[in-house]
Amino acid sequence: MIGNLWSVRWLRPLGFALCVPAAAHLAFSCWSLAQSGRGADHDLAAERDELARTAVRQMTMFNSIDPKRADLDMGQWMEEATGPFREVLQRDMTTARARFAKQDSPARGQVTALAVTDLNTRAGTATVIASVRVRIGEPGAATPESEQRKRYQVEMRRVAGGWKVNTLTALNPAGPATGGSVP
Amino acid sequence: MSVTEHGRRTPRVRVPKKAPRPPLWRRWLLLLWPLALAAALALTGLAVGGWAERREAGSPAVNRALVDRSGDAELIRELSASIAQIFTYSHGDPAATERAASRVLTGTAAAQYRTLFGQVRQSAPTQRLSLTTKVTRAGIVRRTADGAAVLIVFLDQTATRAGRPTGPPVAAQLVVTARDDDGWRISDLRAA
Repeated sequence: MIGNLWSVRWLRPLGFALCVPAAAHLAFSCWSLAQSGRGADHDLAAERDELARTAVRQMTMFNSIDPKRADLDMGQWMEEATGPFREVLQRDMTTARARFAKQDSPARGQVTALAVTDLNTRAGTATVIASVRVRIGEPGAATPESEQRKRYQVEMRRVAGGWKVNTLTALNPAGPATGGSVP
Repeated sequence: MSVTEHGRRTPRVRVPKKAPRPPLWRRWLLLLWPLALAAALALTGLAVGGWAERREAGSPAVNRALVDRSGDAELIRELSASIAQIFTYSHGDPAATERAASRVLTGTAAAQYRTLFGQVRQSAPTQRLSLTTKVTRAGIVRRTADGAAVLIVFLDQTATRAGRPTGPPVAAQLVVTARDDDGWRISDLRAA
């Protein structure tokens, strides 16, 4: 037995020698773990994703209206708008209300695709393009009464309460009808 | 006397009182603990490394869109040109569209393209139809470092019969998945 131990005595220095790269690898792994989820790239990407989520929610909202509670819906629109778009909403409120009063089925928007095309975190400005499908009809109905496809270019601005819609431009094939009216 | 003394002293000198030998398990432990420590360090390193990798893979920065803008303009330019080409059809030169399609489409996109565009290709020659497609907006939804990208593309399409427009331009929206393999090739194509 003593002979056995003696013949494998090199295991001890080998062990010490292996400790060095193993410790280095562990240190590197810990460093990568500390680095993951940090840094300028991560912050920018997180802001982009946050912006995209906000824009999807807002575009869904601006394309949905329930005539029974139009005032409530439009009140919510105002909260998500800023700058020129907010002014437009304010100005068109009465005509929009009259239009929605004639409509009896609710409209439900669904964002089918959205991309952030520009983002300046320092200035707090961003541009988003989105395509939206609007179904008009009772929620329970198997087939909607009508369906519309819409495309938008949206300028967003970061204000105190987060990202808000600054201008909303419908991209019609005939040429852009600049952010004039309620969607 | 001296003989006796000598005889009594000698064993003490030649076989001194030995320290008790540590038990066998202790000697093994003494020999192996550095190896065990190295193994423990390596396993911990692997575990932490795997954790870091999983966290990195779930990070929003995996999507390089707007984070690393180098090549974005070229990607948009190249794909916009490809999309415009494959959805532009002249009844006088149908082969041009075919050539563009076989150059830029790969995988499932070829079949999806036939579904989207088959109708036009079938009816166009008899009705002397031409279709012009312009890309009006394009944006990168997702782009990864391994050369895969998802874009949304807004199209305006004008159909002409015998040189005259058949109506106002029509809007179309596509979600395009592309892969960079010596130039961007479209691997998935669907209407948004």
